[in-house]
Amino acid sequence: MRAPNAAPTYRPAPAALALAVVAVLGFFSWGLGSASAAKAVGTAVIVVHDVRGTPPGEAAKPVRQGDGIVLQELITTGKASEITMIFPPGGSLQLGESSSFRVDSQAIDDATGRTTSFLSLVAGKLRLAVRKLAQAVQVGTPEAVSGVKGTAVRFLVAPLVGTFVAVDEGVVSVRSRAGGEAVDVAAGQWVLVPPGGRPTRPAPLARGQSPLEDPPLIDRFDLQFEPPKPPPPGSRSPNG
Amino acid sequence: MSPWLLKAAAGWACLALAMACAPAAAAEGLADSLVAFAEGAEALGRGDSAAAVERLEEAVRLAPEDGSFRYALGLALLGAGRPAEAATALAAALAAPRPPAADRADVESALALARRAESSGEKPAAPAPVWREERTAFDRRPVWSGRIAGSVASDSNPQLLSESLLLPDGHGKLVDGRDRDALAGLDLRLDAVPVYDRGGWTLGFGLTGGRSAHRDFGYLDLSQLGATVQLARGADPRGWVDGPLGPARVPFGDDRASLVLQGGGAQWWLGSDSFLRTAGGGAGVTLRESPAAATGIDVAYLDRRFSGIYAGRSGRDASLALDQLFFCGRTDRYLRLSAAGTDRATDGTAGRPFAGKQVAGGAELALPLGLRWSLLLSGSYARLSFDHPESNLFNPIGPLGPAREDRTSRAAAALSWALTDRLGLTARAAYTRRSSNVDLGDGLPDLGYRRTELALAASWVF
Repeated sequence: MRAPNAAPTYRPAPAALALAVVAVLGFFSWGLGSASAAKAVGTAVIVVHDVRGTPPGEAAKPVRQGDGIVLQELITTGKASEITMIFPPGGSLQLGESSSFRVDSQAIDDATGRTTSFLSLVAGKLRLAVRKLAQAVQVGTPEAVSGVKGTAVRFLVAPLVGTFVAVDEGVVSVRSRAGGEAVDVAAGQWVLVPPGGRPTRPAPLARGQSPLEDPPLIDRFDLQFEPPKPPPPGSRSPNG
Repeated sequence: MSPWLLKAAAGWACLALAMACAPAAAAEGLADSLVAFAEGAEALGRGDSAAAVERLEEAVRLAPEDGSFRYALGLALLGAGRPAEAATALAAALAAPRPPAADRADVESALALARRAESSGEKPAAPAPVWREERTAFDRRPVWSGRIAGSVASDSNPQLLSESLLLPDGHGKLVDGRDRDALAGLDLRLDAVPVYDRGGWTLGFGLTGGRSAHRDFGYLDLSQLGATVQLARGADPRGWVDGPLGPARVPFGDDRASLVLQGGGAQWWLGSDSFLRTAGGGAGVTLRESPAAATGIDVAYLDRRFSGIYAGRSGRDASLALDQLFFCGRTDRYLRLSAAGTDRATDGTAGRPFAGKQVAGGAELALPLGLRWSLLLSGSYARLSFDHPESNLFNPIGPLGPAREDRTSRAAAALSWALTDRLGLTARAAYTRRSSNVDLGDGLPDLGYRRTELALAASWVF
């Protein structure tokens, strides 16, 4: 675990960092799940370009539309690639380009019958939507653990910057792995949890912005495609 | 409390009030709509059209602005044997405020299929949805488009003269390189792309017009009318490619190569007199080695016909240009390195002073700053070597003397602010410096000059 506010002294390679985070998250979530590793927890419904899945103990393989996603299967997307999957009960996930995530475990409360799922977003962008009262979801990232109940929320994990959480509907509780109190992020707000730091104060998403678009701060980190610009005026006139 | 602190406190209070009153970007029903869409897409994928229609109708009801939901619903309705409703849904997808994450051609193809099925009464097999990762690939650009721009500028040296080289301007005055002027400009561009095929050729036409008006030196006012026609093949992530006669619109896409053929002509007037008429054409190839790099190769040929006392400059330019583009994560943030060579041939004896060869190199750096600001920095260097000694205007050592050689350096910066999607403001600054080997003698000025231009421009895209 990082010391709070520790200054980084080196910059690990992204691949090594991702593997280390997967290992740490997997270790902490291992004891929480009650379901078997082979259980299908979702189905890929939209697959664009290069999406790969690595089930536990197996080699990576391409994910195709209709494929089941099993517990602890690491899903990774390449450049300009994405995957949308249903995530029962009552949930859906969209993983953006250059991202890695997996469903670590699922637990069912014997008394209420409610499902709680534990996800890990290692890097990249994840949009999660869960119907009200369908299930509770805990999303772990290198910097934070977020509790989601019946909501639409976006996560972005950017190396050296931290975890962005933008809530479009409902409320998400964000707790830093570095400690401190959890912060409730309401609909229309976002927070950033920097590496080794605490969540920032919830700030409003851009005024008038569609909840389906990324908030400006996330946009500035260039993890979404920009609308194309018109040709530059006056470029290379033959008569100049 | 000091007045400064009072003002600061009032400012923060206003800011806090504005933020508190700002409408939240929350959306009721968003989670339900996203889940319903995913469930509908899953049912569509396994061929259960009835279940898909049910789930996707819920998604559309909750988020009617989403074109992806309507696109999937249209395909589900088509699969369920309800082509009329499918056509309605697909047509709505094309017009949805949030475009489908699909190619426009795929949505249009499904719509055509639904309409054919509606009129023939047949029940065709519904195509599978073809999704793309970026909605911006959905091309909404109209057949006709245009841009009008107005500018005001200050020019430190519109005569392009050395500071101490005093010459008659032909209009009864003596001028030198210290005579600055202010000017205004108006430019118009119209483009039409009547043939637009993602997998084939794209045909486009362009018309340009412009006029500048100087405050003091009216005889330097320049007017221009031009027309181009272009044929392009291949798609580009930017939606356009560079060509030898300017940018050409192409479909959005990731083709490894694109080709553009262009031809066109222009007429220029200086003051009220005809000055120059050009006609030419060229070809450009863009090769995209990776999403982060592209190479452009252009060849062009241009016939230049000058009028009146400038007629001796008439001739032909043949040019070859190489561009290397490096994109940094997005298409509007790039570094362009360019090199070009031009062979300028002129007509007969009168043209001998103006024939020459130019080699040039340059760099351009585009930096988007935030959501609506962008900065463009550029620099270039050109060496123009004239072919004949007659080019050395004062020819101090006779016909065997050296030919003229000019070296021109230029640096420019442009800061743009997009007030809206259509209206933009740009501030530009440019500095040019030319040196020449033409030597008028000890203590006398030469043909070098320095020039600084500052401009503010507003543009409207329609």
